[in-house]
Amino acid sequence: MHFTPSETIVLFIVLCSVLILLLVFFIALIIYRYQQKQNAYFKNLEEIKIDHENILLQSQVEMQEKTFQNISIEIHDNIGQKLALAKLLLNTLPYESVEKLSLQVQSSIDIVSQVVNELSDMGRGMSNEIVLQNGIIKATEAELLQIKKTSLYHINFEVGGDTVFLDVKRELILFRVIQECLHNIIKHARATLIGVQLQFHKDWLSLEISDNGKGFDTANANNMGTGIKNIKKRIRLLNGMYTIKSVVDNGTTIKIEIPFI
Amino acid sequence: MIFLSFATAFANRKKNLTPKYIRLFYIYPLMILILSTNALLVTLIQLYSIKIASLIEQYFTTADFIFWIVFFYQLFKDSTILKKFVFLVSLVILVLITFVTYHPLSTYINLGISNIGKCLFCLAYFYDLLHSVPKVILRFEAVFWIVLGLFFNTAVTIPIYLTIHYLNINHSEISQQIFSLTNIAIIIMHLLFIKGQLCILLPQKR
Repeated sequence: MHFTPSETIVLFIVLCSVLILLLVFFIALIIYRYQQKQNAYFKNLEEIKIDHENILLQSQVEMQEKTFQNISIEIHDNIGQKLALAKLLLNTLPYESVEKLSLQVQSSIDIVSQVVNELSDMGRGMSNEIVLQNGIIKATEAELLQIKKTSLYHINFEVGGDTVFLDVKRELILFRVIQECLHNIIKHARATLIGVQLQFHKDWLSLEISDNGKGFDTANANNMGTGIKNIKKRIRLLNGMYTIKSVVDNGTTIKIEIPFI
Repeated sequence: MIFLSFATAFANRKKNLTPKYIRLFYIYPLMILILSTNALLVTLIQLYSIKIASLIEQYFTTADFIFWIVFFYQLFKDSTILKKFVFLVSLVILVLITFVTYHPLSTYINLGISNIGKCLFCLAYFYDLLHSVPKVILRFEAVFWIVLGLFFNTAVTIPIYLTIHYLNINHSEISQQIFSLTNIAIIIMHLLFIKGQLCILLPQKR
């Protein structure tokens, strides 16, 4: 086949055009595919963010509910009783004897002072503020102090390593995990000893919560209540890892490792 | 255009946060500037013979290819498979270039072969781009524009360099027009390089 010079030029222009069009199409296809992938990636990121926000919100609501529950119990069982006693003492003041009168007034003052202190303690332990303002260590200390006041448990709290302040949201979720673990011990374990160890490493922190309670069979999935499921969910959210070791009648230990970032 | 490409790349040489292969990118337009000067000296004022000019061009073709080997090797530093790919392709192309250098028609064949290697590197980059986490926004990504420019240039010039000798003999009437396409491809390539360098020089709000 032989082409004339003009045919050769036309053929050349057509071939070049096809080649360049193919090239442009290939580049456009790459950009289009990448853009599609990127949109899916950002959508996924947004979903994770919303999920994270939801869990955080849920943690805050749960903490508030627990706080209200504690306040209600405290007012009903403790403060109410003490104020009733103070009222009784003031109602029955022996005006005939100045010495007895001053003793009874002093007793009433002591009771009211105790109530004021307890209300102050309650205020400090309320809401998320303790975590937001004082960090995870002080918040855990305050939580353990409340448990210690019941005189039912011997508490052992240890902190090791150089303290690192995590992002506030992460600390709040971690504190909720600690609260959930302690709540489980109080509710189910029938323990007398509670140990909490917080160890700060170079890039992560490890948390160990143990008790000497009745334990449970970890192989039986029915033993994993909502509390444990919530703990697992929150640890996953913090990109952490956990192990639960429990022996029937020999206590439970939960080990958690959370990266700082 | 080449001088502008060199100037923008040179302006980015001290940007601390940019990777080394971008900071040292000005070497490439500089090599092209030297090659262009070499061509001008021979065609316009005949300062030395075409044989010497062609020899200089061959050495620079090899140096140009080595530049791109280092560029892509640095670019793929986190991917062992792609680094191995670059190594293997480089080895084959360098061996071929060495053998072809002694061929009488070596200049354009050398360019064609080294462009095949560069084109394969670009395809590897696009493959990596489509298979990695799509974090970067392409229009602000300097490397993307640079590789796009190189890919366009190599894809257009490979068939021209490899067939130019045949065209000179059989279709001499259009061989010059066809060859002028390489100049257009080079201009587009440098335009895209400038766009890439401007992404770093004038960072925009993302």
